[in-house]
Amino acid sequence: MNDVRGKAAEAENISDDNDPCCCTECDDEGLSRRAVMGYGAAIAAVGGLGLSGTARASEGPLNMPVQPGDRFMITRGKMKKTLLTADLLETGGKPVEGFPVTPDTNEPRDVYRNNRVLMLKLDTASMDAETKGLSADGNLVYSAICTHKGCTIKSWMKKQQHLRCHCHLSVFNPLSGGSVESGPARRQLPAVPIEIDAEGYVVAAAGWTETPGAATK
Amino acid sequence: MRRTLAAAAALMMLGTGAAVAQNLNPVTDARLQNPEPHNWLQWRGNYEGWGYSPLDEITTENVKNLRPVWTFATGVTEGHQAPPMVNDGVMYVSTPQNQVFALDAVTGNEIWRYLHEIPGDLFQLHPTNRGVGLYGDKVYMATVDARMVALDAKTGNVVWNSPIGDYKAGYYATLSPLVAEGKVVVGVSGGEYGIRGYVIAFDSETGAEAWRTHTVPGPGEPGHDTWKGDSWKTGGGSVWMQGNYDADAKLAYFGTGNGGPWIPEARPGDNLYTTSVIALDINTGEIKGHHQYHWNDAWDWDEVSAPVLMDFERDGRKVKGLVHAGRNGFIWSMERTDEGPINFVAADKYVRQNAFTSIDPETGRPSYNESATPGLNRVVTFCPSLWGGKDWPMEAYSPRTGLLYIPSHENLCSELGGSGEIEDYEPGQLYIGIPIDVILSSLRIHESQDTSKPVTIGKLQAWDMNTGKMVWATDFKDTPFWAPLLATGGDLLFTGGTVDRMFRAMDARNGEILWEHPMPSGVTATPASFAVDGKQYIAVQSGWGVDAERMRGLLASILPEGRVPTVPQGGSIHVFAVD
Repeated sequence: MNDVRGKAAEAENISDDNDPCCCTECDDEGLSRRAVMGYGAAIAAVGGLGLSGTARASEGPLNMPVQPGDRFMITRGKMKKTLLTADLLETGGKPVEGFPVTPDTNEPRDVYRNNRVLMLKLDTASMDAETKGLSADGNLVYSAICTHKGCTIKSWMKKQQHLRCHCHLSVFNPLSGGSVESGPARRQLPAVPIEIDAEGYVVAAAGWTETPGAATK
Repeated sequence: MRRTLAAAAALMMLGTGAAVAQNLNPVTDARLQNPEPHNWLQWRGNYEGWGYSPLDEITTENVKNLRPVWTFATGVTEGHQAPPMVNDGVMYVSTPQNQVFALDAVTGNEIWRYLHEIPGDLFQLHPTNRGVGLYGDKVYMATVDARMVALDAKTGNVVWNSPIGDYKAGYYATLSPLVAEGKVVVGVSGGEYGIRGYVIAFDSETGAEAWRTHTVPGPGEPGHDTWKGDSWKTGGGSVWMQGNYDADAKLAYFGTGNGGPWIPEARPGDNLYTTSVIALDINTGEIKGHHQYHWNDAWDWDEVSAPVLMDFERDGRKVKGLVHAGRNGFIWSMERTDEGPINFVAADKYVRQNAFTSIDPETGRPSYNESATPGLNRVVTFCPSLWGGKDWPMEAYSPRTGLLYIPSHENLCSELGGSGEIEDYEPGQLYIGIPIDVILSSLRIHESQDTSKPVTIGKLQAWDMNTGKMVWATDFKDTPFWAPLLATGGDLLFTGGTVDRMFRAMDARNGEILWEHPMPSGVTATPASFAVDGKQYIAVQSGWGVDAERMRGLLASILPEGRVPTVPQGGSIHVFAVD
C-alpha cells in the first residue's frame, strides 16, 4: 500500500461506494429484512416442486425465451434456488442473478443463455415512466447479457445505481429502461415487464421487450 | 449460410486479385522453415518467432517518405490484433468476429471474404483474433466459439469445420494456428471461466482431431501430483498464443496461462503445467520438456507468449536458446534440447517487480514475497500489475542488430486480493475468486512517480541477450503500450500500441522515432512486411480494443483528468510504401 498511489476509489465510473460487489456473491445480496423471514419458505416451495435431484423436463421449454407467466429463480449466491417475490429484495440493493422458470414445473429456462436476468428493486419515484411500466412494486427484471459482446453483467455501481459490464465497461441505467450511459454498447438492456401474482411471486407479464444478447458488429 | 456467403463473394472476384489467387503457391513445410523474404506466411514471419522481415528497401534514411498505398475497412470494432499474412501477392487478414479477407496485396481489391456465424449467446470476454494459418491450399482460423475452420485459399469456401471445445462451458480460441507436419495446432482460452486448458491438433486435410494434450495433467499423468483434490478440473492453464517451432527437433513450444481461479489457495501445489513453456512433439502431442516460470500463480500472470527461439552466449558458451519476456517481470533465458528437456540459464528483471524475493540460480524457481502475494483473505499491492511487464504483444529479434526488443509496461502495479470466499463454479461463467469490482479498481501507479507530470508507462526496451543487459529504451508517457513489434532488414522497428493512434517506425539500433502516421483507431495489431515485384510494403491493422482499452479506461481513472484520451474504435487494414 505504501509504495503506490492511486485514486481509483474516487473515480466515478470505478467506485462502488467502497463497497466492492460482484452482484451475486456478496453476503447480503440486497436481501430485505422482511425477505429473510420468507426466504426459507420460498426455498421450500421450490423443493416441494421436486427440482432437486430429479430429471429435468425436456430441453424444449428450457430453451425458450421468457414466457408470460414465468416466475424467476435466483441461481447464484446464498439465495440460490429462491423464487423472486415482491418483497425479497432490498430497495437500492445489489442485483441478484437468475433465470425465468416454467410456470408448471419451476425449472429454469437456462438452456437459452440469453434468458439470464438481473433482478433488482429500486425506488419507483426515481424511475422514468417507461421503467415504471416495466416494474412491479419497485422490482425490475433486466437482461444480464451485455448488448455489446454478450458478457454476463456482474458489476453494480451502488452510488450511481448503474449496472456495469466488466468486459468492456459499458454502463446501463436501470432507472431509465436499461439505457446506455457510457461505453461501447449501443443498445439498451432488454427487460421483462413484470407483475406480482396472487401468491406474491414476481411473474413475467410479457416476453422480452427486445431480443437479448450481443451485437453482431 | 457460410458456404453461400463465401461462394457469393468468390463469384465477385475481379481483376488482378482473382488472377493472383488462382495462381496459388501452396504453402509447404519447406517454405515455412525457410520463408521467402517477400512473403509473410505466418504469425511472426518464421517458426522461431522473431517477428523479423529481411526486406531492406525501406531504411532508416528513407522511412520518412513512407506513405499510405491503400486502406480497407473491416466493418467491425474491437481489438484488431492479427498480422496480414501474404503469399505471393495475396493477403489474408482475420479480424474480430472471425472474418477473413483475401485481398490483392498491391491494390487492396477484395478477392473473397469469409464471415463466421457467431452464436447469439456467446460470452465474448476477448473479442479478437490473432491471425490465420496458411498451409497447402488452405487458410485456417480458430474462432471465438471454439471452432477450427479450414477455408479454400482460392475461394474462401469452407473445406472443413471442426470443434475445438464447448463455448458454452467457456472454451474459446483467439490465437493463430501453428501449422507443421500436416497438423494445425491451436489451444484454448477461458482461464477466467474455470476451464482445463489444452493444446489440440487437427489433420490439415480432413479436420480430424490428431491429438489433444492438457496443460493441466489428469490422474495418472506426469505432473498431476502438483494439484490437490479436484482443483485440476478447473485449473486453467489456457493457451491463447501461437507456439513457436523447432522444425529440426519437431518440437512446438507453447506458453501456458495462469492457474484458475486466480486465488492461489484454491489450487495448492505447483500447478504444472500452468505459467510454463511446454515442448510438444508435433506428431504426437507428448510433452517432452517444460520449464515453469513461476509456481502456484497468484497474480494473473499468464505466460502464454511463446519463447523466441534464438541463440545467445552466456559465460563463453553458445546456447541454443529460448527467450521469454515474462508477464512476471523477468526475461527468462533457457536452453532447448533436441530431446525436449528445457534447461534454465538465467532470469533478468526488466521492470519493477516486488513479488519474487529470489530465483534459484540452478533451477530458476522463484521464492515469493508473501506481502506481495494476493490470497483469499489477503489484499496486497504487487508490481508489475496483473497485466504484467509484458502481456501478449510479442517481442521481436533482429539478427542484424542482435537485439531482442520488448514492448513493456513500467510503473504499473495492482492492488488485489480475495474477499474470503470463492463463488460456485458454473460452466461458462466467470470463475476468478476475486470480486469483479475489485479487479476493475485494482490499477495503481508506483509511488516513485510524480503523477502531476506525464508518467512513463510504455517502455520499448532493447536487450543484448549475450550480456543480459538492456542497450536502450524509449519511453511512452500516460499511455498503455500494447505494441506488437516488427523488425526489418532496414534496421527499423514498426509498432503502435499507444492512445495517440500513431503507427510509427523507430531506429532499431537506438530507439529513435523516425516516422509516425496517425491511424483511424489505435494500433494493437502485429505489423508485417512483404514485397511484390521487388517493392517492399509495410502492412498493419488499426482497431483498438480488448485489454488495451481496459487498461486505458483504468489509467484514465487514476491519472489527472484529460491526460489519457479516448481512442475511437473501428477496424481497417493499411498498407504503406516509400514513394
